Amino acid sequence: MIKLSNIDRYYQSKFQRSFVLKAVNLEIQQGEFVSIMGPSGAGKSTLLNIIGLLDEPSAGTYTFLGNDMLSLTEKKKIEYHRNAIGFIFQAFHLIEELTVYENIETPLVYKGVKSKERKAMVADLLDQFNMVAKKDLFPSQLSGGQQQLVAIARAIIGKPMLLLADEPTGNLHSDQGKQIMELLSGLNKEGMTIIQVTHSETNAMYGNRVIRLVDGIIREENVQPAFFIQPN
Amino acid sequence: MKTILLTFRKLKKNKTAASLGIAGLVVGLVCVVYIFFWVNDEASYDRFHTNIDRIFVVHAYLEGGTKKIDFRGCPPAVAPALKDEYPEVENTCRYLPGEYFEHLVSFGDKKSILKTAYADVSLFDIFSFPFVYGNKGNPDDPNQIILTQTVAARYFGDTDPVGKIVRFNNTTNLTVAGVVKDIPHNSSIQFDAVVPLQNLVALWGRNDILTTWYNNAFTTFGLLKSPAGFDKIASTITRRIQKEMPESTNFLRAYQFKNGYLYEQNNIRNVKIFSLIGLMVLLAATLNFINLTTARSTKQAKETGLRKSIGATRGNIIKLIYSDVAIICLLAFGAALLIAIAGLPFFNNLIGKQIGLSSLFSVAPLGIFILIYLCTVLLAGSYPAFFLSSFSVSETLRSGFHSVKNKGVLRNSLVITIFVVSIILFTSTLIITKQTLFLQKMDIGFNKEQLIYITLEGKLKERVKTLKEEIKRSPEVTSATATSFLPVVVGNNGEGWEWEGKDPNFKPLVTDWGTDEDMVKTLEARLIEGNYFSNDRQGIVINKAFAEVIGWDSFVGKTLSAYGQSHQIVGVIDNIQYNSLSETCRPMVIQQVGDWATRYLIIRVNTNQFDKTIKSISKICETIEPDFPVQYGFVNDEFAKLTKAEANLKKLVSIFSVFALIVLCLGLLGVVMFLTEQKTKEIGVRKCLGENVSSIVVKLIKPFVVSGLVASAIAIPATWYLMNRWLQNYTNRIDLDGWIFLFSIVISIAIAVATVSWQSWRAATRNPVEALKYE
Ligand SMILES: Nc1ncnc2c1ncn2[C@@H]1O[C@H](COP(=O)(O)OP(=O)(O)O)[C@@H](O)[C@H]1O
Ligand SMILES: [Mg+2]
Repeated sequence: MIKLSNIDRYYQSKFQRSFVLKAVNLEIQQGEFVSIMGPSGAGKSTLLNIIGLLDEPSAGTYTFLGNDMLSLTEKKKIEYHRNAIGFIFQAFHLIEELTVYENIETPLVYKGVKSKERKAMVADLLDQFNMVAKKDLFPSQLSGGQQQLVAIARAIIGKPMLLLADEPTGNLHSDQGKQIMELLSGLNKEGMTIIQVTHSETNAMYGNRVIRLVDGIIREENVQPAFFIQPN
Repeated sequence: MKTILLTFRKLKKNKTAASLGIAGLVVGLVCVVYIFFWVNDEASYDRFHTNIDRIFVVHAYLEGGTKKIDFRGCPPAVAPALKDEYPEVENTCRYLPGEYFEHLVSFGDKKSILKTAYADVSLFDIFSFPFVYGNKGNPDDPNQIILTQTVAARYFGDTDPVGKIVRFNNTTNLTVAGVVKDIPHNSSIQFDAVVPLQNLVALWGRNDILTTWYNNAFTTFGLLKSPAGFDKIASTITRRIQKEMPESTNFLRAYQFKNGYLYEQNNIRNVKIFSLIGLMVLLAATLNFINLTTARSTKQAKETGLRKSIGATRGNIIKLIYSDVAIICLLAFGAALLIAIAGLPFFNNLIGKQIGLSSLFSVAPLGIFILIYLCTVLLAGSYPAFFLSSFSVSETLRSGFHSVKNKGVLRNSLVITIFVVSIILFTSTLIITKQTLFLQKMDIGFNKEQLIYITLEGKLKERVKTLKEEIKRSPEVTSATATSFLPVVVGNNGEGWEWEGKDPNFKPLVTDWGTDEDMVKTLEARLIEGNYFSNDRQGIVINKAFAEVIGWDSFVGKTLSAYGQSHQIVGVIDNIQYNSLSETCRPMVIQQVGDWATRYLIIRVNTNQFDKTIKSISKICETIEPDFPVQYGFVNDEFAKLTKAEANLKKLVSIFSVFALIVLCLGLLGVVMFLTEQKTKEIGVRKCLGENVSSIVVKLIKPFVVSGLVASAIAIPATWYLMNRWLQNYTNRIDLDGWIFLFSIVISIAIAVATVSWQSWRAATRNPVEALKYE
């Protein structure tokens, strides 16, 4: 589904380029659950952002379902964000002034889904995530784990085929983290392709494949069928 | 609906920054609303006349002499000639302003002094003064009077007074022909009553008073059949007087009545000044608002990035930002309007206007107001819209993201702009105040304090000598003098004076003032040569300005002549500043006042207990003339009227500069709160490293002082330029010195430092452990 070849990403300062990503080649199939690991500053988020069309590589090619992603118009990019790609972040990034319900609903508003349909879809997800009682609360009234649940709900309400998660459990206690990881694993089983950045080996085990990034270069890739080492 | 809700939630979240920003905006807008009220009122002058576009005014001016001098009116023969000779002219009217003539009008035992205009009754055909009762009456009957509604009610209550007979000036009986609605305050034609012009014949005792081609006392209005006819009149009228009197130096000029108040009387100057101030304050308030709303831009930028990542278009984002701003501005406008309306009576009181709300609720003012609103929204919304979308999404969503780094310059320039506006306004206030005080305290050639005057009517005029003696008997009265005019407003002038060696083409306009022999003593005026005239020393006294025009070395004993009569000069008096304080004194001749010309008795008293003195003076007047109510006043008050425009300007500019300073303080407070919050950690670290509180406070305050200084560098030349232009209207004026600028800069910066000090001190004295725990 995703094919990156020879991706470079550098920042040009006055006298030198500093490479964040260098000659990255990566292929990800539909239905995979990939974990990206590596030290801080290695370029993990940058890679994720490039895949998610929030950032552009300085060189290389990127195709998504066979389509070239580097020559997209702004309009097309927005289409992908609305329909194909969902994001979750370490810092949750919920909109503080919106209630749980409204946060989850927002992508549908942008997508132009009718109000009645929106209601049904959000209600469904709230039900699935056991958050019906919390739907009128504001993010600040929730625990970190609950906030991340809302963020996931918001990311998947548009039924994206690809979910990008940048250290989704980084700000959470371990048991909250576990809950989130199980949720992601469940989504993956239902067919969603997931790429996550994580520092935790345990969390990486939820995926079927680990990519280790050091100084912008992919050092190691190991494939491990998720069902093979399912932690308990 | 949803956006409104969202905006309110945001406001609730960022209480302090938002409320400071909004408060600043409200303060600025209140100021703008008042300026708008004021400008709108000025611009609405005389606009209520339905024929406004067709009315023109003709007046005379004097060429020759030292400079061109305009008269308000022109000779009485001009109006009929206009009507006869120009087919474009539908009607004309001669008018002597009501402000000039105060006459006693009585009905039974009800007496009142009315400002009475003398006018051709065509006045009511040309202008829109609608009748409540009756009509303009018979144009050929001089024995009638038209009253305004309030005045009529004083005599007749609510009943229809048409046909009732009132006594005028205690000499004639006039029939009430009609009652007109009260005249709006924004009318340049004001009166309590109108009597037909023919009555002037009796008043001035001359039969040809209405037919001469000289005497520029008559304000002359014309009504055109169509506005297009004006150009022909304006271009052909100039030498009309010369057709009858080839030797006359009076020329005629026509202007459109609708331009009279604003342009001819130069009220547009203050309109411009205040529009400029309004714009500056609005700019400052809006910048302040922008500054404080973008203080939370880190969060907003993150939110924007996030919204983009979940599929928002640029359009969505921009719409969100603008509607956010539009809602807040709407709130601020609403609040400002409410506050302004609530404070309107106070404002009216302060500036001596009667601005009503009704004038606002018509198309043009509302349109302008909506325009101001849209501009504010555009201004306040464009910056965040542009600024927030300038970040790349991935950048905003990174955990260490701060939008502020590259914002320091911008914030500084916003702060500086607000500073500049405040300093300009504050300095201007000081300069205008100084100039006004200068005019008020200027040496005017006599002592205007403790002078009471009585207007002489009826028997008071006939028996002025007795009156004077009686009054002088009371111990509080030092001296008294009978005069033709009050020294502040001398309205009689001519160009007939000749002297030996004068260039025959040089015809200076010389003012004629009549007094009795006690003028110098009573007014405490100063002679610079010779003596004042007295019963055994007949002759004239000239003022210093006239002496300079003539240019001799000595004057006493020499003669001047006027209209074939020669007059010996007995003395030269130091200039008594009259009519205008802004110009240098004009030439004047003082003569023994004739009985018929005596209009005032000016009395010097030696006490400030005026009540008692006035009571005893009134008693004396009433015994001599029981039919007229006593009319008295203070020379001081009359004098104050000369600086009314400046005093008003001073009041308004000071109010507005206070508004601007409040905006500045609110803005600085917001900025410093934001900065200290941002630097909590840094301050904590510094304190742990042993830096003391005062050094930290100084570090926090320093940028504000620097901004203030940079702003001063911009504000000083701007203020200097503006104020210099303003001062050019005055011959008698102050010099712009550095001290006034220095003073205002020191004060502005001191206010700024005081505003930010407390916050800085609080931040610097916070427990460092607490500070480091933050985040
Ligand atoms: N706008 C930028 N300008 C310069 N360097 C940047 C910029 N954004 C990120 N970087 C650098 O890119 C590197 C990789 O960042 P990132 O992808 O966030 O790393 P990770 O997520 O692996 O911690 C870091 O060293 C960071 O300093
Ligand atoms: Mg990262």
